[in-house]
Amino acid sequence: MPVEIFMPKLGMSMEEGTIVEWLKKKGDPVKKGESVVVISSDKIEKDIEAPQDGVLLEIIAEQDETVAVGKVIGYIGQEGEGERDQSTTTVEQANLEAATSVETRKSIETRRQKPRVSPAARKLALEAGIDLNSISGSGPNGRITRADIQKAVQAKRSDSNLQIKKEPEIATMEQKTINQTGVTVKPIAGMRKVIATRMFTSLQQSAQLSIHMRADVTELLEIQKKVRTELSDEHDVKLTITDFIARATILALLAHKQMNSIYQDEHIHTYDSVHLGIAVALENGLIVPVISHAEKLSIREISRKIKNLSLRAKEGKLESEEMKGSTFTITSLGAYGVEFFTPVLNPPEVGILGVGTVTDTPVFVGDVVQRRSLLPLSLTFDHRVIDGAPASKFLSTIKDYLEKPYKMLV
Amino acid sequence: MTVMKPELKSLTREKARWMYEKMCEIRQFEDKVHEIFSKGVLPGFVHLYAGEEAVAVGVCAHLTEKDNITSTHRGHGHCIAKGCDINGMMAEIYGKATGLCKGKGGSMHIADVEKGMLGANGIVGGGFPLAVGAALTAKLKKTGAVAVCFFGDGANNHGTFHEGINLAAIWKLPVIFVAENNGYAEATPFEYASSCKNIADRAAAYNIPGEIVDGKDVVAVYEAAERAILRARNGEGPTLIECKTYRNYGHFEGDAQKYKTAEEKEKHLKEQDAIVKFRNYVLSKQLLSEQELHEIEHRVIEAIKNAVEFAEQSPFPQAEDLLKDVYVSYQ
Amino acid sequence: MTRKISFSEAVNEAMKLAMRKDENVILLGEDVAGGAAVDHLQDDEAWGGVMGVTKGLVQEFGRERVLDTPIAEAGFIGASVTAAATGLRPIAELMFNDFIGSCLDEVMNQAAKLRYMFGGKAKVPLTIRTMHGAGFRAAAQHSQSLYALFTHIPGLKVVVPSTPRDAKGLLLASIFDDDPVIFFEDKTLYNIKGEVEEGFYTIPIGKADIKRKGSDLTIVAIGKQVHTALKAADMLVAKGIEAEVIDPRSLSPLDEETILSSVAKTGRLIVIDEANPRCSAATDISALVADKGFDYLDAPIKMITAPHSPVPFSPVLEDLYLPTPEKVLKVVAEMIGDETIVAV
Repeated sequence: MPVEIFMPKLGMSMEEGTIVEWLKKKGDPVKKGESVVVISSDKIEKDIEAPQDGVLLEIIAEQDETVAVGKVIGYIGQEGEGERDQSTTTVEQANLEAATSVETRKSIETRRQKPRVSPAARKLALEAGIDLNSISGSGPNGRITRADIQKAVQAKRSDSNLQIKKEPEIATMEQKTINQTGVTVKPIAGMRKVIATRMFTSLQQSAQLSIHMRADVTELLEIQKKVRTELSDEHDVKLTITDFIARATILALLAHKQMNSIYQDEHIHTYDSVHLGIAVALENGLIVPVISHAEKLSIREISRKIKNLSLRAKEGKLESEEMKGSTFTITSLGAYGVEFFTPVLNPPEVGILGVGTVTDTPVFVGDVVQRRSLLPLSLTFDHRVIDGAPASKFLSTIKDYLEKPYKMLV
Repeated sequence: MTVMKPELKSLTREKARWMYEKMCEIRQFEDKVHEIFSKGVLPGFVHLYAGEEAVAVGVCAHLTEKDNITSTHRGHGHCIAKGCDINGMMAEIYGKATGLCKGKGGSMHIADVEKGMLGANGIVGGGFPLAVGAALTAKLKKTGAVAVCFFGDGANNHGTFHEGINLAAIWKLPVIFVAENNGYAEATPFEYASSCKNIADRAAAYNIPGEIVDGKDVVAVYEAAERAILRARNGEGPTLIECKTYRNYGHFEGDAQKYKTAEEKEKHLKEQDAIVKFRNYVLSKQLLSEQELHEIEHRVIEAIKNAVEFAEQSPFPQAEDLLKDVYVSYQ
Repeated sequence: MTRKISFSEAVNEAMKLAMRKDENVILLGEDVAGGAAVDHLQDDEAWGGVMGVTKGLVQEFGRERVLDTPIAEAGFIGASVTAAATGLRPIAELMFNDFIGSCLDEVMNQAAKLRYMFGGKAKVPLTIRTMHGAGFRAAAQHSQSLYALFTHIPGLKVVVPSTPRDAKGLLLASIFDDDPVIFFEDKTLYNIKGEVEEGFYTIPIGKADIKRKGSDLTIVAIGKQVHTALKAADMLVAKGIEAEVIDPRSLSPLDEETILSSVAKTGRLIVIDEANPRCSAATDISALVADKGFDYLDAPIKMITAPHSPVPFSPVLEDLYLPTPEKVLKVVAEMIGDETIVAV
């Protein structure tokens, strides 16, 4: 029967720990009492010893990963054993492990073997999803510096091949649930924790302001219908209104580059290329896959990409790289009947477009009342970077493209 | 308890010779430092003792190496009178490795603990409690030694004056507080800065003897010091002696001394010069002959010349000396 | 209008303007006029401070407002505390900051704490001007830089200017500040000249000044060491390194924002402080960045300070004691990993 290796609780205040280093590879034989993995709390590092003889069957939490106390980080069992018993995964047992079989020591030697990384580089790598072990440092004593990570990010960006990863990147929700009478209390974890942190940080650390406009998409809907009926068969394409909005937004971003920026470290980084984030609602939360270099794509390509990304997002098959580096995001609540809303910025971006539901409305066209289809648009922007007037011009440009779709052809 | 009446000894020939030589050494040393400093050779700032020789020499004539003295920023005279090596002093002023403090202290901090010279001092009023501490050691260890605190008129308004003298008085410590009232605290006249007419008057507040002497008259200082030191060695406690004297140079080298009048300078530097006065005294008392005095003067001039040569030819400290002697040990 | 005047003249001018503006401003200290009660002495012949910094003030404001004191720091600094608390706005000159030993109680336990202990019912608008700094061959008791000592004490403000312009504006701000301010003047800076505005102006206490813009490295330097930093920055240009030089100007309050913003940009920090290294302004600023700016750092924080020793007298040792542009370059070379960055 395979046995779990837990993240132990060390001391009174530890809530989560980080894997410093696995001393054994998957499949390596281990002896009882032998150090298998080095973990660290915010205070100290400790070696965790094998609870029994066997082989390291599986590594659940990889190096540099931070997991909650009591969570399984790996399994030890006999060679060939596949099944594992999760029924005993409890915090109490983890505590016991910490108290009995974990030898406490400051693992200075282990620390020396780790790559030297500057704090700034470590933070940037974490944000950009760069594996520190894949980088050789250019700083003194091989220290990985901010510049090294920036180079790696650029290298990844230019490599736009989409690769489907075997395992879903998104953390599963925390299973631990406490039932009280009429109240269900769940600790926030996984994707919920990420969303909570990001949204709260977003509102706390930027100056957000939303403006609203309606675009008359009567003609656009006509075109969309025509494309659907007349072109879909031979070109294998079914363009949605979202595809047009994406295209209009990309063109507007190219015309108003200021909006295609990120705000980081007191600096405004303005991009020539549009990396468009598309918010996708999932059962348990929300993720934002990114279309890199979206300005280079035709509307058909955009359409395909959006469909592919949202499908894989729902299946949990996105690679972490596909969710990073966006410079602007589009989010839509149109499917739920919402008209206007105030989207929350996806930091470090400085703009996000909220798309509402199309409503048919009587509108004066000249002196005549006509039935027109109006699309509500909500733009949130970071006032630290962009003022109201340019933001309004940007939104007007989108509106203009949507109202005069032929302009998108040029 | 019977109060012992001090039995004063008269000045011997040998003592007179020593005193004349030391006074000349101080004068020549300071005049030389003045000269070198004006050329811009010496680092930092120096405060010269010339003019006040009679005080240091008159008091130190009674001291041995086991007796300690504390000094002031104007400390060269005390060093010489207490027997410090003038080569080592000059080298110290030059910042050389062969200096008495290995170049670490400079003019304002020359010290030679083995000679009982506990250091010139950069802090006005710093010496009072330091002398008390040395006297406490002497008393508890029954060494029979005394401590002498030389201080300027500026320091007599400092809080440590009160605390130090009071402590010495209540514990009846063998300390002699010797005020060198040269009339100016830096540039400020004594009369302005002190509420008392004489520093010695303040002794009454501590219930100890206070005596005023002509600080230009080395014999007068010698006699007053002898009384005080006998008292101290007899366990009768501290004495305050105020020597009225004069600073031939300014507060520091470079001081234009506009606050001094031409008349006072004329009076002190010429008419009442301590060395001239003592020279006449020893001749009139036939303690030393004109030729002997000549020999002393010549010898001193040579010695000072040699000291300058020694200092100039000495090496500077090494880089590794920078961190030496911060502690005895530090791990 | 600006003109070039010396640091010493700038300090003098600030006091003059303050005394003209407010008759409650008085100046007291040892020989700040010089030669008190010497009948024959013309006021223009008087010292005006041991370095001549207060020269001329007694001529304009008289001996009622420019007071020579006995050498009694505990007395006149202590008196300044309550003179301030009861309606005057004194500038007290503690000749050398080393002499704080003679009057620390008056500063630490009285001036700093009066307002707090009295529940906010008192204020102590006192400025203590004091000389600091090594390099003058003045040995261990006249060369220290003790600003960290005061920075440690709540209730005191601590100002350490590096240029004539800053000195004037900050001294005026200090004098008209309602809290006790310890104003440090580096004795080796008195003769440096710089552009200084005419007339009355103040520079807010607690606002750092970016003395040089740069993107690759932040150097925070205190007092005279700002000039060391600027020299080093000029030398680094040849290596393609642009250093940003920040002069905090006051250590209490400390402009954390400016320092952190700069490190966020450059990712690297060197602190130059000629004071002793333990529990110093250098460690304080380093700790600030390690604490609040950890994620900005792309290299270890480096401090260039005096060693843990008193200031030596001998010129050869004192020169080794102080930070130099060459020492800065050496540290930058280690930091960046480029050994070719060494002073020529």
